[in-house]
Amino acid sequence: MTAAVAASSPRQDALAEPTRSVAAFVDPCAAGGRIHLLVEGAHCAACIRAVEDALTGDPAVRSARLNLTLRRLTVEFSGAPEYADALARRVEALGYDVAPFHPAHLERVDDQTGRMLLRALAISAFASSNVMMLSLAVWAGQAQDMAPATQSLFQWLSAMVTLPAVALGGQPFFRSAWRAVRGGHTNIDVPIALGILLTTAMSLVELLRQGRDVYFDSATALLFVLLVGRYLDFRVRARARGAVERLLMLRAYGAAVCRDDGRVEIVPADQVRVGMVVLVRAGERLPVDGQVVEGRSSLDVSIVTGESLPVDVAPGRDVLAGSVNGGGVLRIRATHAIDRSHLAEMVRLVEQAEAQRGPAVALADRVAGLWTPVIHGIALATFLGWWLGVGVGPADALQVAVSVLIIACPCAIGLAVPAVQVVATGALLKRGVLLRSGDALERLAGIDAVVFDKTGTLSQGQPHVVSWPQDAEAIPFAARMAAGSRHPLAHAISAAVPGVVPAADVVEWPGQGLVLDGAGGECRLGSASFCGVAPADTSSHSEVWLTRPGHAPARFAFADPPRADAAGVVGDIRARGLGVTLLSGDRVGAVAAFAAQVGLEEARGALLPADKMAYLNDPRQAGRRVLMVGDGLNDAPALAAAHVSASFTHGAGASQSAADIVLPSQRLAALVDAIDIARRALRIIRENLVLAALYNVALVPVAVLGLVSPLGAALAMAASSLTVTLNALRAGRAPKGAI
Amino acid sequence: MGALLFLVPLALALGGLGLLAFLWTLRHGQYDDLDGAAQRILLDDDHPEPRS
Repeated sequence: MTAAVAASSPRQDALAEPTRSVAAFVDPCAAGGRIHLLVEGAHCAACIRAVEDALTGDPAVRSARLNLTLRRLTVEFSGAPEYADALARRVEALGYDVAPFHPAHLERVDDQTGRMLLRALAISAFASSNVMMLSLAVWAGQAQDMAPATQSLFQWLSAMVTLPAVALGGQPFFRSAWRAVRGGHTNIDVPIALGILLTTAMSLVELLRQGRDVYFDSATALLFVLLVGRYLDFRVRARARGAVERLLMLRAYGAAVCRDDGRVEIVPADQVRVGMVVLVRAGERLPVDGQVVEGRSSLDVSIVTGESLPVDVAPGRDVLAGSVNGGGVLRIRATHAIDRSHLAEMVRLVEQAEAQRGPAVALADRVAGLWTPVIHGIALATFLGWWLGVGVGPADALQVAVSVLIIACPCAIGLAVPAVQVVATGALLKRGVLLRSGDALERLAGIDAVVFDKTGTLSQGQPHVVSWPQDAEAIPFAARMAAGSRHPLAHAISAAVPGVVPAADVVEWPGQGLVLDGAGGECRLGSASFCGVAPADTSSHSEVWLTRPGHAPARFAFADPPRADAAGVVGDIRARGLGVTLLSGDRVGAVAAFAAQVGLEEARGALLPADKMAYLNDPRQAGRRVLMVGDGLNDAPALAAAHVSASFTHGAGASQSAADIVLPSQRLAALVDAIDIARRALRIIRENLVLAALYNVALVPVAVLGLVSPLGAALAMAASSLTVTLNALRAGRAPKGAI
Repeated sequence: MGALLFLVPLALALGGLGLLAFLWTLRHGQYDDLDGAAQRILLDDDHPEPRS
């Protein structure tokens, strides 16, 4: 169910929301319980203090600690598990959204992978620095007068450091390469693993033969540089994945189960058993597969089946977990329990987001895919050429071939993209902007037009009624109909009647209005055309009509002022050479008046969700890459149709799952930052790819000619990786001319 | 040169000690919340002095 008890989802007070309970997530320990809560919105020292102080003041709380990276608050307390609800509410009272961490998320694969990489990185850093120190002495000693026995001692010490370091630190590459080879294909880790292993083995043989060509330093340096790239890449993905997971966790962490005695109780989705009846409201995800027993609605099933058009459902229809409820309130009877649980869906969503890799990352992969066989070919040809052609010994020929392998290894290319992404996504995160998919950055950099929704996007999204209908009966009736909807206008109406009980069987037509099949006939609450009445006048207010059989149509008029920074943001975007358009479902008059207020020339009103989508798919727009910004349920199709899309942290679940970028609710200007940072990041990514490729192309022939020792190759490679990384750091700086 | 016989292994051992210390901190989750650690340094006076 909706996680946020806070004001961001005002519907639930209206729906006489049962107290949401986190008690089911409490992990019992020695004397009481421990609970892990996701605290969304915490980002600074003051937040840490406020949250921790609010809890530690309570004598029942033994410890409370907020992890700012994971936004995870861990509380240990004594007493019954139910006490956790009181604690959660105390944090919510501070203005944060709170959701329980599912136990399955605590031991995440990410954490283990991250630690494994960090451990490998530490080992290889230790090994490469010490081996480099020893071997520099040997290299210098060979030129001067170091005694052979001392050289031999140093080389043996190097071997003792290198062998365990390669065995432990090289595992990420060996495993991946082994998987690829066993699967009958090749990936970038194959030449890497081969290079590391060959260098180490060759050096060991040379050491035993008491030869000069011992290259443990190259092996460890290679390992270290490659692991840095691997770790950075991991960080970007983990961060994107964490952001997606947090969003999803806030949206749905349990299921509202209707008990026989009429109570509604929140339980973790995996505790829903077959036969239980679950309540799902508009904008929420279905926690389990089931059959509709009550209510009508339309479901967005795009995530589950890939079908982009909403599906209408009525009692008797089978529905799938993960669908987003678009319209009315549904009660569904669970037909499957855990096997398609919320958790499975979340994993699917995260994987889906991850599958869309950026064009630049994909480019690096493609380059690697083409490059790998070529490297093997060139290295083999070099070996055979030197051995059989030139006639040197196999050991010398192997050494040249290993140099080629190391030089040709595209690890600078592998670093080029993730390093920039780490820096750019980190800079955006500091400004409160979350990227939901890896390629959002690159797509955002390429836009040439921005399309805004009006309500909640450019406007403050909290409309208030400025003119009530004369008919006093109409107001509570409209409030009862509106209480089931998430639309801001509906909320403005229902908020006016405290303690309103929502009417059952209300169906929402996104972007148009609400329908209730009452005893006396059909009642409609919505736009003038939806209700079949003529618009009242040409006033610049938004309006909603209520039609009931046997009553005159009643009119509600609303005012929704623009955000304070709306005009500034529109100007800034235009200053960057982008076209700006306003598309709204509101009345033409209201939209035109609003557009004039924020300085927009192009604005269209009276659009249905399908019209917005049609506008984006219009052939005249073909070739234009549009950024769509919207926050409502009815924006989801347009968000999905746009080249790249942005929603807000307060947006409806459907629009968030369709959007690539999630902006902070309070600061529209973050959008301009995001565009600037994305453009800059793309430029730096291109520079990096060119730099890295130039290096490979220039040095491979030199290595083939046998002019580079493996040590030289490793040093040159480290230098190119360093260049690329340092260049990437520029992506985080505030762009010039940014406001 | 004889000094190298024990100085170099000593240097390696000290480095190894540092590595072990790092692995220990890693295992105890000291890198799990780098953002929080950066902010916590700004928090002070856990026990404010009583006003007199």
